Amino acid sequence: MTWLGADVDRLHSFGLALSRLHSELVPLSSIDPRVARALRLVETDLDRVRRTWHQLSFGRMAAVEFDAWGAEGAAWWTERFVASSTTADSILRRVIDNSAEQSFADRIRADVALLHGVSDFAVVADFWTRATDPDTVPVDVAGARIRRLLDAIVVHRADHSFLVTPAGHQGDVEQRDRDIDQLLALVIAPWSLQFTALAREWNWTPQEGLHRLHEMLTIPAVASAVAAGLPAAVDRALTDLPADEFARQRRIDDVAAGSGATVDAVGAAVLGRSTTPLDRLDDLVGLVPWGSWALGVAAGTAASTLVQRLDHRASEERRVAGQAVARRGTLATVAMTAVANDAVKHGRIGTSARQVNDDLAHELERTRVTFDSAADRGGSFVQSGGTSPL
Amino acid sequence: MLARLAALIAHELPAARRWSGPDTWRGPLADQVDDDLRVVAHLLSDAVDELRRLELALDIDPR
Repeated sequence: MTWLGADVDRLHSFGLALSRLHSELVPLSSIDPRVARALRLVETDLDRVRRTWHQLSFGRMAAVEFDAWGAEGAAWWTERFVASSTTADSILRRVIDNSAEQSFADRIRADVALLHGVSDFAVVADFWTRATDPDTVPVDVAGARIRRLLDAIVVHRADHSFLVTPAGHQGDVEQRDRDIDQLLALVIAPWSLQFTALAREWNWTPQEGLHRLHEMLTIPAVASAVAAGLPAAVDRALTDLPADEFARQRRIDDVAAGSGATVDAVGAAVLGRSTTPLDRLDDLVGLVPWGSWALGVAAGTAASTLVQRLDHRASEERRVAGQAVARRGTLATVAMTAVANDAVKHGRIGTSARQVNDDLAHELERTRVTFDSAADRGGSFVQSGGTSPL
Repeated sequence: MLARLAALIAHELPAARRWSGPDTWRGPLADQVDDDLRVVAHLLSDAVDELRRLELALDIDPR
């Protein structure tokens, strides 16, 4: 479902409609207690809408002010080194004080200036983790923010030679880069599936998503966080499954394929194969047509064969393969539990184990097998040097 | 009063509900306001029914 967020114009029109309703209700409130109660509800809602309108407007204007400071030139870069409090500190503080973080996060374009310009990194880290929290931020909104953030960081890290760091502050810059790495880990980990099989939810192609994931996994903190956060990401992706059986199975297959690709990418990163040619990843994605990750999942081999196939490889590689198998087992369990929970929630199963019908038992078993084989498929492809295992 | 309340239910309330409806806006605030306006619609509808009953009773028995 596409998120139709609150915007200033929509809130303005809504506020006008509520104001008219309110002004008509006021003279009628004494004729019946129910009308008086309705008036109180409308007053509360009008207040909510006004407050939200203020927050959105404030965030929007603060973003304009911030971008004027941080988008041009290099003065913002040096400010943190010469002043105890920066323009970024001041603007972000006002944004937080006015509860305007959400619209500010959507509107700013000078993301790098925010990351490097704020004196206390904990403040900006808290801002970004809340702006991308999967429990409160809709998937497409988080996607737009994170894509923009990553693009900005990648461009900045590729070339920031025009920014001159004052003598004696190189250590500060390096520490800030490490802080940003930790932030990236926190921001990316809950959304790792949106870099692979669920890339469409973020309006990018699987190629774009996988390339970006591969790029980010070269940062050790990100690789660790993505691996640790994958079970939770799978659980979340399998919550509220479609009622239609075909669509539900498609979703489970997509999430399984995405988790497999992620496990494989983490394994490659841990093995130091960060230079895995991107054209191989292109081929991996190209194995299946756009939007049909699920088609290739069934072609995976049994879980145990992964370790056997790697027996001849170095011990570090065997260790990583072993971790991958263990991780896959965890993911399969998480996925089966999520699917079962969803079945209970949507009435496809009774709460008693006796009420598990054959269809659901088959669906759970198929989920386990799908997750068990998904990573193997991605791994075997990359290790085979680009030969399709299909 | 009754006619004014009925007019409000017919015009101002639907106008406000259009803005909180899922085709126009989705999200926690819209959901909350939409729920509230649904309650408002029930309250006002019940109030109109009650006022009409009272009015009818008065017509039948003016005492």
